[in-house]
Amino acid sequence: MASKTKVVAITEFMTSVKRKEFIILTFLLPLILVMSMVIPLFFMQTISHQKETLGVVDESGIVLPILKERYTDYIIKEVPSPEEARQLLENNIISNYIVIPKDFLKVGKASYYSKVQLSSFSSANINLERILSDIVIESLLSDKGVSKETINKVKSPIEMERITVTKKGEEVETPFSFVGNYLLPLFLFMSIMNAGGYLLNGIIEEKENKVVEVLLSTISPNELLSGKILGLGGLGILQVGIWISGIVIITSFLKIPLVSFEKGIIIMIFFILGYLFYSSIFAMIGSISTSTRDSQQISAVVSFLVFIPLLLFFGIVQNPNMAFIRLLGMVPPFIPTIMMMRVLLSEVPIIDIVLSMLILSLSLIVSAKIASKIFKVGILMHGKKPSLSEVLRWVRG
Amino acid sequence: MKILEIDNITKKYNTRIAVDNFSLNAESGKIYGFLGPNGAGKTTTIRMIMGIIEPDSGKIKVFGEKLSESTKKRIGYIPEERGLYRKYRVSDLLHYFGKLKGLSSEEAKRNTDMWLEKVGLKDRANSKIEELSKGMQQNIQLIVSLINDPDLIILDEPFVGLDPINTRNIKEIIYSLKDSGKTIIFSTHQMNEAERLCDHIFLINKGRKIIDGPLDDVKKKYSKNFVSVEFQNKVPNLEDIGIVEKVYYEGNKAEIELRKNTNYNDLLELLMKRGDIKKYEISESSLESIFVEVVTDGI
Repeated sequence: MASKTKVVAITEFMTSVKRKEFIILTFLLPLILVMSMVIPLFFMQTISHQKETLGVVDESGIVLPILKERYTDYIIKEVPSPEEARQLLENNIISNYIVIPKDFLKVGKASYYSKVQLSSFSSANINLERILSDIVIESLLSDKGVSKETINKVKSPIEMERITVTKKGEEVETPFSFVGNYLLPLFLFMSIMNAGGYLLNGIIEEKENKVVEVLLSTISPNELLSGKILGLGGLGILQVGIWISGIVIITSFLKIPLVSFEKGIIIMIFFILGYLFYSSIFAMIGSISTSTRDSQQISAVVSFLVFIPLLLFFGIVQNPNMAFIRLLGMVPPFIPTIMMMRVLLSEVPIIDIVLSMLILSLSLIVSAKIASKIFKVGILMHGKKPSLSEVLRWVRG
Repeated sequence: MKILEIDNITKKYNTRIAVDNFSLNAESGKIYGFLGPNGAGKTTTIRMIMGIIEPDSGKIKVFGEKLSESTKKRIGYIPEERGLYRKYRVSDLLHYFGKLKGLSSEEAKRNTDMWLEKVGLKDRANSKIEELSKGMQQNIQLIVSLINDPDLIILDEPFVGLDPINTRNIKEIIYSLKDSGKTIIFSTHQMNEAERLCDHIFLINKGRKIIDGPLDDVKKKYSKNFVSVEFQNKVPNLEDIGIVEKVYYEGNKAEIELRKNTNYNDLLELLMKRGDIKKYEISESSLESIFVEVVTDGI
C-alpha cells in the first residue's frame, strides 16, 4: 500500500471510529433491536402469569371439571347461564367466556366470547381447543371400549423431528434461526450502508469545504479514494467484528448453534466484496453531488435497492434455492444480501457461490474504475451539478 | 537555477480555451506575481503546475524534472478556494498534512510546533479549526502549504479577506522565504501588493500571456511617461515639440505624454525655452493602470 494511502486510511479510520453515530450504531442499535424482541416476550410471559378469568357455561355437564383440571391458562369460573356470563363480561368480572352446549360431545361445537379480537395463534387458545378436542376424542373412543393407551396414541399420533443435512453429511437439528438468518444480513447491510455513508459524506465535505484541492496537490485522486475506502472498510470490519463477538457470546450462552466456520468465511467474503462494490457506487454519488442534500436523495434510492432482498426474506426462507432467487442472487447489487441469506438458510450449490463471487468481483472492478474516473473530475467541481452526458464523458475521457 | 519551466501549455474545457499556449520560467530566490483579471486562466494554470489537472498539450517541468510524486512534495500550495477540515484540531490537521507530504510523525510534530510558534498560534494547537477566526484559519492554511519546507511555494490570492495585520504577517513570511532561496509565485488582483512584493510579473488575459518580465522593466516598458507642468503664465503651445506625444491643457497647467524611449531631462530643457516653469513633476503610471490599460486594450 502506498504510504499516502495508508496515511489517509488511518486518519479516516481514526476520525470515524470516534464519531458518535458510529458508537450508537455499533452498540446501541443492536441493544435496541434485541430489547425490542426480548421485551414483548417478557411481557407475554408476565401477562400470562397474571391470569385472567374465563367464564364457563357448561350445559353438557362434562366439560367443566376436566377444564378445571387441565386448562391452566385462565382461572376457570363456573357461570350458570349465557345471559349471566354476558353480564359478567360487560362488567369486566370475567375477560371472556365459553358456552358448551348440551350436545357438545355429539356435535363438537362450542362458542367463545371475548371483548378483544382473538388470535387463533395464541397459545392459550390453541391449548383450549386441544383440551376440548381431547375431551371429545376420549368420550367417543371410551364409549366404544377403546383402551387408554390407544386413546393417548390417537390424541398425539406423531412427533416430527426437524433435521437439516449439511454438506459433510452431518445431521444438525435445525435451530430456531429466524433471528440470526434475518438479523445477520440486516446488520451487515447496515454496516455497509453506514461505512458507505461516511465515504459519501466525507467526499462531499471535502468538496464543500474545498480542502480537496490541497489534498490533490499532494496526493493522487486514486490514492485518496483508496485510502478512504480502505479506512472505512476497516471501520466496517471492526463493527461487524464487535457484533459477531456479541453473537458468539450470546449464542454460546443460550446454547444455540452458530453458523459453521465455512459459512462464516463465505459470508465475510460477500460482506467485503459487497462493501467494496457499494463504496465505489457511493464514491460516484459523492463525486457528482454538489451538496449533502442531493447526495442523500440519490443514496436513499441506492439503499432501497440494496434493501429489496431483505424484503424478500420470507420468500427466500420458503425456498432459498428456487430459480428466481438464484437468478436474483446473480444481479450485482443484490448479490451480497441475497447470497448471505441463502448461505445462512441452506446449502447453496458451490457453483452459485463461485459464480456470484465472480460476477460481484468483476462488477466491483468495473465500478471502481468508473468511480475513480468520475471522482477525479467530479471532486473538483462545485456549483452546478453535472449532467448525465457530462458524467459519461468523464468516464470515457 | 530553474525551478519551474512551463512550455507552451494549452488547456481546453469543451470548446472554451482556458489557457492558450502559455509559457513561463521561474528561478529560485525570487517572488513572482501572477496577475490577470478574473477568469483569465490563473487558477487553471496553477492547478496544472500542481498536477491537479493535466494540460492538453505542452510540458511542465519542476526542479528540472517532470511532475511526479517526489516533485509534488517540494511544492507548497494555497488554493484560491481555501479549505480545511472544520472539525479537526489544529495540531491534528497539520500533522495529517505533514504526513501526507512525506514527513515522519516526529518531523510533522516538530514543524507543526515551529510554525504555530512563528505565527503566534501555539496556544490554539488544540482548538478546532471552526473555532478560529478567518485570519487565523488563513495562517493555518499557509502553514499547511509550508509544513514540509517546500522549495516552490504557490499562493493563489493570498491576501484576499485579510486584515492589515495578517496581511503584513504573511508578507513577512513571504520575504523570509525569499531570503532563504525559495521561489514564490503568487496570483493576485491587488496590484499594489504585487507592486510592493514582486521581482517579476506575469500577466495573463483570456488564457494568453501578455506581459512577462522583471517588475521594473515592465513598468518602464508599459508606463506611459506622463509629466505634469505648471507655468507662471498661460501654457504655450507644446505639441510641436518632437518628443511630445500628447498634451492636455488646463489653464496654467498641462499634462504631457511623452513618446516612448524619451528622456524627462530633455523635455525639461525644451520646456524651459517656452516659458517660466513653476512646477515640474514626473508621474509614472502604476502597475494598476498598466494592468487596466493592457487588459482593456488587449495589447
